[in-house]
Amino acid sequence: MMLKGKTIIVTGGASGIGRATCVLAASEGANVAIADINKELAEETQGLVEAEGAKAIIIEMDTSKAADAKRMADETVKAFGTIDGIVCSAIKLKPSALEDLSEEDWDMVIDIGLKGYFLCAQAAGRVMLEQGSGSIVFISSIGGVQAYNGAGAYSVAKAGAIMLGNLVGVEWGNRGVRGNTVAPGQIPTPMTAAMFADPEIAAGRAAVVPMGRVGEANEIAEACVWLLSDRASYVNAATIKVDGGQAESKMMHTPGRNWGGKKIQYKAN
Amino acid sequence: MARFDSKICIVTGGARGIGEKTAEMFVEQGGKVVIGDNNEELGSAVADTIGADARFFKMDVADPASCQAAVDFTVSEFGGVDYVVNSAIAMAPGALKDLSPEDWNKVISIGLTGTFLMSQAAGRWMIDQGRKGSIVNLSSIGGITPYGMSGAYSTVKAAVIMLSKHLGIEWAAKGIRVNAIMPGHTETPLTSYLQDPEIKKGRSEVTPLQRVGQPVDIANAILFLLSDEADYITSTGLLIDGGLAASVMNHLPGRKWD
Ligand SMILES: NC(=O)c1ccc[n+]([C@@H]2O[C@H](COP(=O)([O-])OP(=O)(O)OC[C@H]3O[C@@H](n4cnc5c(N)ncnc54)[C@H](O)[C@@H]3O)[C@@H](O)[C@H]2O)c1
Ligand SMILES: NC(=O)c1ccc[n+]([C@@H]2O[C@H](COP(=O)([O-])OP(=O)(O)OC[C@H]3O[C@@H](n4cnc5c(N)ncnc54)[C@H](O)[C@@H]3O)[C@@H](O)[C@H]2O)c1
Repeated sequence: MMLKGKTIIVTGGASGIGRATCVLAASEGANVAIADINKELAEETQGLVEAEGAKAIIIEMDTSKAADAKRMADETVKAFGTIDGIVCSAIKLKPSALEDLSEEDWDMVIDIGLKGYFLCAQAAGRVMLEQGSGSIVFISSIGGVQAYNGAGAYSVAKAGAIMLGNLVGVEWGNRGVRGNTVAPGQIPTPMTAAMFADPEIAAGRAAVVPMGRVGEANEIAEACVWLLSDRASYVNAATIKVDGGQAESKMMHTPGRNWGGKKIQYKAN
Repeated sequence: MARFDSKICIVTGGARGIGEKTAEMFVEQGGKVVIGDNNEELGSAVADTIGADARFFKMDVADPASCQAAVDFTVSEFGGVDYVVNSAIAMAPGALKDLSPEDWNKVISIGLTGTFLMSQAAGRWMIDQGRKGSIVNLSSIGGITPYGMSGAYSTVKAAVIMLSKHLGIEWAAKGIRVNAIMPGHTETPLTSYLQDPEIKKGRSEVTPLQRVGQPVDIANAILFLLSDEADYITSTGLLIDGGLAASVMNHLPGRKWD
């Protein structure tokens, strides 16, 4: 078991990628703190974690509030004695064209998606620094390396998450605390359910990925658990894209190749 | 005083496309140019058209003796070398599964080894003379994101970025700056498929600025990096692609978040 006896916090652990990470971490032997604003969904996750034979607590909180982040760390230490890892996954989307994006919507996404990552990493990180070991994982996105048009402040928050992961790794690496980022591609979760419910969009979204399919929340959880574990003990300030190759796929969408008179129909799949 | 008064530049691959445009504009802005290319017919015609401040030198960038001869020729014709633009390329597209060693080697030797050899020959001369200089190497958007079906091209172009950075740091203290340019879709004889209106339309549409690039777009950036305006710029790369490389997410169908 990769996380035997370790205590892991997952913000946004009530749903989607966060939930999958809670369950996989539990199956690898971790105690799990589910930090989320949605208590009902968090309880479902708690049930799934317990079904793996692991312990879970719920911290009902708003990750964008410093007092909540502090309470998250305190309650986790109180329940399990320490903190060995945190995965920051909580997000709320507010898509919009930039010319129409309101200050409130910008602030909300940055507050949860970037400030919240910092506050939770700082609160948990202080415990890890004291202990002299720990692993911090930020969920960024393909939108952190490619401009996600129409998604409001999302891409900017996600690019910021990558730099925050690098910064944590650089500032805390020499004190045993690693910082890394996972950048998922398209993953059907409650956040993206509306898009994937439309069969045309679902098919189109699969077709643009070099692997010809979208990913699963569990495939992101695998990368998170690996980064949390000691198997990644020299991985620091790194970004792992788990996107089926999508971030590198621009030239797939370039029509027409007839170098040397021969027209090449380029289709990845 | 014109921007490139008394400056001397070697442009490999200068017989056509981006290299040709760069040579022409360099002379327009006061400089003298040697067009180094293996296409004698095109290259000498271009030199004639540009006029007295241009020479053609027949060369093969993959041959070190030929690169050295290009430097010697430039020094004897114009008295020195200040700049090099490495634009020569040959394509051997194909699926990697089927690519022959010959096709692999051809693109590596002209696109990568040729860029090294020409830079080395000119750089040695500059270092020996204690003369400042600037070198611009043509990479590609294919050097930062894989260009499927292009054979060794993407690998060569990625390596050209690193070669530029590497030469840049080794020669910075000697006053020689080295940078790379990454063009996106650009209309040249190399991309003659853009004459097909369907392809041109498609390639324009995948580019955020909604058009393919023209040689002048790339030449403008090359001349900037050669010039003293870029005196503090070295070991870096500049994308001139109308936003292409940043626009992967444009191809995601559907934006339905609620
Ligand atoms: N689903 C995808 O396609 C995808 C792709 C790339 C990146 N991501 C990233 O993965 C992470 C998880 O996404 P998901 O698809 O699982 O989303 P989700 O909507 O299923 O889950 C997000 C969770 O965050 C919680 N949350 C929201 N605001 C909160 C707050 N202020 N405080 C505490 N909790 C809060 C929600 O209650 C929810 O449980 C996000 O960071 C997201 O940006 C997702
Ligand atoms: N056109 C584009 O869309 C595009 C995009 C990205 C990058 N680039 C790069 O820009 C540069 C110029 O491209 P272009 O479109 O002008 O190409 P081009 O084919 O029009 O010109 C290339 C020139 O190189 C010469 N050449 C070939 N082999 C040679 C050799 N062994 N020795 C000397 N000269 C040789 C050719 O004769 C030709 O004149 C290339 O490095 C290319 O990879 C072009």
